[in-house]
Amino acid sequence: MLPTREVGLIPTIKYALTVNGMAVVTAPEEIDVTTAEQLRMALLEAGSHGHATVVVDMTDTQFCDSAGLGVLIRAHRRALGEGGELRLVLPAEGAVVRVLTLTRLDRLIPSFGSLDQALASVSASAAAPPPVPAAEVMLQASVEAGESGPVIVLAGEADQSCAERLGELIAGQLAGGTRQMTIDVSGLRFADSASVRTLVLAAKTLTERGGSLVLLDPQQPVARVLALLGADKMITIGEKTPTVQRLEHGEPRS
Amino acid sequence: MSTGSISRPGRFHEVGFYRSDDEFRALIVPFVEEGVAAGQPVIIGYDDRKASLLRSWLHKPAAVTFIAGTSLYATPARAIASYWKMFEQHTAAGATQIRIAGDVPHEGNGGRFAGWDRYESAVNTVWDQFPVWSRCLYDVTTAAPRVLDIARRTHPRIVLPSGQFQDNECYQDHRDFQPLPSDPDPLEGSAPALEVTDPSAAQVRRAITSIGYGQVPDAVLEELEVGATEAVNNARLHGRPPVTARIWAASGRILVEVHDTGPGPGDPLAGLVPALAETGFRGAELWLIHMLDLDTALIRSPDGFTVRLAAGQAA
Repeated sequence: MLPTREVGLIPTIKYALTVNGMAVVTAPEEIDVTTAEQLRMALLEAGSHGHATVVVDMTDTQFCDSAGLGVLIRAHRRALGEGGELRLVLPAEGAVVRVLTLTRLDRLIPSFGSLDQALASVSASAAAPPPVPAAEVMLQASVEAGESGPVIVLAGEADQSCAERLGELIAGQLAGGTRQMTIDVSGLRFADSASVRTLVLAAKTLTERGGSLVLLDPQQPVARVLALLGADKMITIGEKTPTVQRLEHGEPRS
Repeated sequence: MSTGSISRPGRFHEVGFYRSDDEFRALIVPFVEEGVAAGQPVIIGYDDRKASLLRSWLHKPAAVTFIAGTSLYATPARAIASYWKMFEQHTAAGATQIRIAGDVPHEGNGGRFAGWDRYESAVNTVWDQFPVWSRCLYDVTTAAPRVLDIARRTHPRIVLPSGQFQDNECYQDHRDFQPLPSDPDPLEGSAPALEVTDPSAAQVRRAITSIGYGQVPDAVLEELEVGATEAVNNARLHGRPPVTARIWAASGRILVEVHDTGPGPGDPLAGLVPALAETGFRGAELWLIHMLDLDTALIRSPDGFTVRLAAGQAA
């Protein structure tokens, strides 16, 4: 377990000074007008120690009102301004998750199913010395071997600035002569016309080979762009697993 | 003046002006009835009042496709794309003539006319591959002078309540068409919350989220993120640097402008022609922008070209 120390006069909010160069703040069980200010101060202090990225552990938080949401969003903006970000650790379900989903704050602030996952994920970008340019860490991609061809897992945001890289990654998998390809886009928050164009090109190649391209679980904004561009006619849209299961595996929710 | 043979198939985009329900009836009923009698698809995009009026005048209203609500005319690009889809289905089913009549939104019928001037001009060529006969009828008692001016400049011929046709001498080919200047947005009068030169699209998206958060619903911010990304892409791919992004937000309204110093697209139809996957996405950036639920304006000025996107409470 991580070493924690209690901050000043705020007994309910714990703040582990450094974990992989990041601050971890444990949020109170209930965040309302009476505790929001404490959380704000804890987040401020965490940020003031030079940790641009702050992980807020909300695993045990059962309630969060609008004052709490305001504190989180402001802390996230401040962290973004310093080249970091806020990362939320959330339980799989409950009132807090519902509030964050309803207000779509979960799309704004990266959220994770476990503290380890949040820390592991942060270390790649935030532990690097100066702020990493957004474009370079915007799209995360990995390739797995699936039962019927390669499975590419995309997370983050795909736009013009990384379309070429995405194209090369896909071309590399197509070079093997595969007829079937799956792209898990459940972690993709955003896709523009350039990246959709890249996907459609791959779909055309696979269709010519008698196979197909399957996109798994596009989020609403991605699905909308796919539909507006008519790409959903050329690409098969499939479903993976429910959100809760993804969270249990510790994948980012956003 | 000619009386033209009404049932000759072909491609027509014509305008009629009326001052009363009687004149409206004289302009629309023969157009619809003759189409129905000839077995042609007839598509009507009127508001509820005019649609029920027309239904009451027709012998077989069930033979006519009425598109209810405001979704058809949500944005000019969406109207072009929606009709496109219907035309594809009808021609695939063997139709050799399709008749349509609808009302573009303007202040006189409860809508906003901004952008529809370009639509009326584009319709002269954008559906060229389909045998479409489009009759646009304007109520001169409610349409503003500038709306009627656009109507006169965008239709090659005029149909009169008598059923006769006139060649329209005011007609401007879509290449020569002068669209209306865009009204300034009230937010432009204040200092922007952000002005950044040569930003990445991701930077603009972040800024939209943090500046606009709480001003408009998050779904609207998502639309703006898509629109601004495509505007930055378009400026980088087709414009001339430097590219400048400006964002304003106040009182439930958000405005994003992406400016480059190039002359803007040469094609007057830019953004209105469907750039679908099956057509290779040519011009997809501007087209995607025009498909979104945003107030979109393309503004050409001596210092360059601006894509202006706005959402939220009406200006």
